[in-house]
Amino acid sequence: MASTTSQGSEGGLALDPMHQFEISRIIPIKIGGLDVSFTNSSLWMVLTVAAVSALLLLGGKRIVPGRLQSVGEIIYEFISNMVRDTMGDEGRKFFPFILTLFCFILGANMLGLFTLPVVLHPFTVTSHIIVTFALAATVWLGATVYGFYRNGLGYLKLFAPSGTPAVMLPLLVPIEIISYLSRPVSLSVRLFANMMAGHTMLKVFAAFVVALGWAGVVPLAVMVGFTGLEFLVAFLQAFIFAILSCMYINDAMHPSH
Amino acid sequence: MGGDRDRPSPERLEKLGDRLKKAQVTVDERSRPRQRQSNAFGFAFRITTELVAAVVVGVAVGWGLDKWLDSKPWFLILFFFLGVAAGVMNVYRITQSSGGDGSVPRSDLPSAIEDDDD
Repeated sequence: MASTTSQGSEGGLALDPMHQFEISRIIPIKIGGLDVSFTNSSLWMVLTVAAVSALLLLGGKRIVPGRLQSVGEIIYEFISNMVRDTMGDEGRKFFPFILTLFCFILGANMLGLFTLPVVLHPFTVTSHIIVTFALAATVWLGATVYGFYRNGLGYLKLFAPSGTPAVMLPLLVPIEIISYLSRPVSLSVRLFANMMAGHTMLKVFAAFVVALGWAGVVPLAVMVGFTGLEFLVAFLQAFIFAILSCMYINDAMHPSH
Repeated sequence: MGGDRDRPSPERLEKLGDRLKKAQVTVDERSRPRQRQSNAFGFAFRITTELVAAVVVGVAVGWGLDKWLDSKPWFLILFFFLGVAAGVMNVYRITQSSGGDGSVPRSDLPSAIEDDDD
């Protein structure tokens, strides 16, 4: 804390707000020229899975739920209702996947907001586009493969909405294809941009608190508000990711607009 | 007298069932809009990314085709406009299908809830 104060008061933003996104190797591993080291990103993924599993599995099975069990049950029911609302009873078989997806993203977003100074540097897994893109691409590829498996070539009807005049097809089909291809991009960019922008903003304001001395109370107050907002965003983005995945899978089941 | 009241007749049970159903519908209706408001922020951001992503994908496809067919810059120009069109269509489709909250497609909602907005 003392060193950051002296740094901050000298050069305004001597604290690097992007430092929190750096990846560092914890256990370097190399397999055939590929760097598969266990990094801080991997560590936080493991922590996320552990935290979420603990919440859902160790919450208890009492009839009158305690706090932890209540949280677990609320998440379960929330996703269950969402799956039924968007995909109907048919979508039931995708419930475990959507629940896992939602819990992982929510857990990663939330864990990134907690700090354990000195012991562990907090790291938000979902603030890296490659992570969110991997998640989005999995959903998108899975939905596409499932769409073809279920509807055969009839899935291509998705690109030619019913009732389109034949003259319009050469124009409309490329547009529909671009729209379809943009799904994983928008899905991943949305989550990544929200997490990265929020965390950068928090860091920048934190630097103001240190740099301004007594007047730092003002950015500190703002930070309290922003932190609350970040919790909302963390939840909202996990929710949007999950519900859009539901809608894409629903498109794969019923490929007519 | 008292015994007469305690024994529920089938009509009274039916009436009670009707009232329960009505109450359930109003509870559902009341709980919907609240969820909607909290989603407004996410909805705004969703529209933006949807628009930008389509343009980016369009440009990427056009650029790739140009590089492959050595036809600079025609495919890039063509696919830029196709991307813009796809983005606008994405946004249009979201606002059409979800009644503005960007979460639940309207066609999948039960009929009781479907007509409560606008």
